[in-house]
Amino acid sequence: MTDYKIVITGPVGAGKTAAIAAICDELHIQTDERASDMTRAQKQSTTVAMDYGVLQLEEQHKVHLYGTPGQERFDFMWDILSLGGLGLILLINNGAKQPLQDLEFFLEKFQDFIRDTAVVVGVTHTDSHPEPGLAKLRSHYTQLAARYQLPTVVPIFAVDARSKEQVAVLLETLLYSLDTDLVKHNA
Amino acid sequence: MTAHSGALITLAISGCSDDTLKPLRFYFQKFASAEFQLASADSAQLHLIDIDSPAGRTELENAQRRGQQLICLSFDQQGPGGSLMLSKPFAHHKLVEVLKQAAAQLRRAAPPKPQLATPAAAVVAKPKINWQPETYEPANYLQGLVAAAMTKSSEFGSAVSFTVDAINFVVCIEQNLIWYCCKPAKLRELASAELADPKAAIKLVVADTDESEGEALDSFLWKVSSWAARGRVPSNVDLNQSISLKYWPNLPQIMRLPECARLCAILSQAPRSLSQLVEQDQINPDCVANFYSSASVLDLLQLSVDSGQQPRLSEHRQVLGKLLKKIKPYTQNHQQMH
Repeated sequence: MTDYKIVITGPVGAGKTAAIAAICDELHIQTDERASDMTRAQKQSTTVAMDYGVLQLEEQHKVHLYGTPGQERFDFMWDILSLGGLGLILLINNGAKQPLQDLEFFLEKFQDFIRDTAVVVGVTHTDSHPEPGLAKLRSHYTQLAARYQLPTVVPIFAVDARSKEQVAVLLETLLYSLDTDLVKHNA
Repeated sequence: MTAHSGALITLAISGCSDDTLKPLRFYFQKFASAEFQLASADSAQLHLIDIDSPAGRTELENAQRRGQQLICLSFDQQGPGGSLMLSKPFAHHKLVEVLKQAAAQLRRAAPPKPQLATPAAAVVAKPKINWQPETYEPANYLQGLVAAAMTKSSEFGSAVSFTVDAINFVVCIEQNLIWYCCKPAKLRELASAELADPKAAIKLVVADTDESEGEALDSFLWKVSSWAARGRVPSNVDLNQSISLKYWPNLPQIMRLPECARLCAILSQAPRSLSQLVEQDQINPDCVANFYSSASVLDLLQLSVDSGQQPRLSEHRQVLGKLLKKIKPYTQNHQQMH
């Protein structure tokens, strides 16, 4: 049996817990607690350790999905959770106060991991909050990519993290970003 | 496992620490991609293993069972019989030297190429693709009319309308929306057919447009352009010009085109011409043509210089492939939703 993992990160309220719940087929662990800090202004409960779910594959292979806690004070866990990971899904809440700064913060924190693997950015809450939207986030990413020596073009999508189909598209995109020949060798 | 002269040798790396793995991967992807291709541990012809690590020792046994050509990385000077040694810490020229030896051993062991003398063998042999797609003129299709309406809407600073086959379309560039009332099958029929009068009058619309829900212009143009293409490419396209991706289309919320995620991944990592996508990457020509039509109308592509850079391959291909298979029903479900 071989185990692999994919990391889902992003700020508070970006939809990490929802995305893992949407796509995983085994009971997932949520370590949500009642919010007690400024997170409370955004939602009633928040992830304090991690979210965890499993995608069971053929031949006893497993892919573990780990969702990091969003608050910056838990950033000591991010390196631990991403160690040995296959790739990163970064969720950004378009309705948050500063989505562009959030993008920058997480790209900086995960820059080594992204350089070694691949990243897909999912932007949530674009229906209720159109600004800054995909165009500004893409443009901001281009500047950050040069600063942190990241890939010049990465997938940045508007996504509903509660939708199994849309989260599956995020995962599919991550897989092709990691290996562009997957279909040819897995037909 | 053997290799023919001229064919890429598949290579796996196991048991190495991150500090060793990163420069090795970088070397094979950047400098040795003309001869070696990174592959999964169970499918590679050549296996480079750090046998000082516990994971490496386990993988060594597996590799020996598979009969793979081995390069053992170790502080010791001797490895298992039949394997090549690369002593740690290794210098670049030592790596090149041992890779040459491994490639030579694999090629010596390769059986002669089969002769294609008989007609039966000739039928089995895959013919070289010489892709010469049909062309079409986008301006003569619904996609062309929408593009013209977008220009007018931008000029007028207001919504504009046009009518095709008694169906009224209202376009507002400011809101990035289009309104129309027809069933998907009828829209597809309209988008695929060449227009009798492609210069239909585009009129200024004074009425409010935001009372009913419209469709995002990008999403609309994406689908009508692929329907218009039907395996053809726009008439002004140079099939041999290298292109790359400026931005990914918003895949979770637009109509899914077959092979689109793979095409975007390739073109975001390495410039390719349309011919190369078909002939080298072996992507279905219709998929390439339809993707090009949609992506170019949304201005997602740019001309590029072919730097010889190769798109990324993973040593975890086997598990990535299984995961792709696992999520396929969901992504196909997404396709049906659009």
